[in-house]
Amino acid sequence: MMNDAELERWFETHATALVLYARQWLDRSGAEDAVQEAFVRLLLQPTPPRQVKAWLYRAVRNEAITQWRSSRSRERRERQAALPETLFEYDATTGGDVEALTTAIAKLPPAQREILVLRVWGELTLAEVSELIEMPVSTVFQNYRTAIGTMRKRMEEPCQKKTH
Amino acid sequence: MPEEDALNTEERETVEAIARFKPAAVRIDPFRIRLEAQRRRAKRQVWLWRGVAAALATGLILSWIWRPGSAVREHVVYVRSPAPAITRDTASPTFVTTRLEPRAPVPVGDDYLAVRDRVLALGIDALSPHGHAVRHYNPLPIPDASPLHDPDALRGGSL
Repeated sequence: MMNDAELERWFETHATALVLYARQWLDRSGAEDAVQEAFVRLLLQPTPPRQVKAWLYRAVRNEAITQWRSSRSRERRERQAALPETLFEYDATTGGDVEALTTAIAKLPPAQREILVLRVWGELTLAEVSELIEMPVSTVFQNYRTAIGTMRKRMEEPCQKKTH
Repeated sequence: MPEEDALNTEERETVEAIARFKPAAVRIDPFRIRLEAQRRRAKRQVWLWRGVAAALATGLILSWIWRPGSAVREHVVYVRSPAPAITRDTASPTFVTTRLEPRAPVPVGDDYLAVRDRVLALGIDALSPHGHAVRHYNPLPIPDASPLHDPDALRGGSL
């Protein structure tokens, strides 16, 4: 069984990225519920999994998809569509456009968006992503490159408009 | 990110640029997670004991339903035949008369031994104030000791 120190370490390291990952299917509170559920299940495991990070992402994915399929969650998702929330924290040092990034990610196709989040913020390897979403590594890599290209174009658009 | 080597320079710059954005903070904390885990552990134990109780109850009910004893058993039963009707002949008692040896003469006298022998022979009545009335008692001899089957004959006899 996992002790408190280990739990806090895993939580501090991965909780925000896990919520971001779950936000693809759920609103903020739903995503947090899914992440909490995953951590609770991790604590209830008699022996901790060998690859805790991969296990956590899989647990969050399963929980988020289950919630997303439920009618209650669907209604909540529809309400949430009218009230977009930012997915990232504003940081003055980066000086980036948080809303533009959120919009750009939201417009990506679901598979590309999932791969990009898992790879960039989840820091999973392409092999781990491939195993998690049950897709060949080569296909994962192609989707990843396409998503990066799309993001680059969309992130540059506001800047170009501002310069004109 | 070793796999970033497969990306070109522009793609790598894009990844580095978007990776600088940090995901929004979460409103959950490890304390709530531990609390929820403890609550579920307790709930699991309750359900475990409920399951044990339900299994025992089910076993008890099934054993009661399928209990042995409903099969047909054969027994040999002996029943007494009804007693024959009582008739006058069978109801009549059977008298058996035996010959009594004539007793020795009851001693006469007022001394202790004589009184004792009279009491032993005749009973307490021998001590009546007129004790001399039974002085010459002697049982009558029975002429014949053969069994008699007719009580009326006995009643009408000298006995």
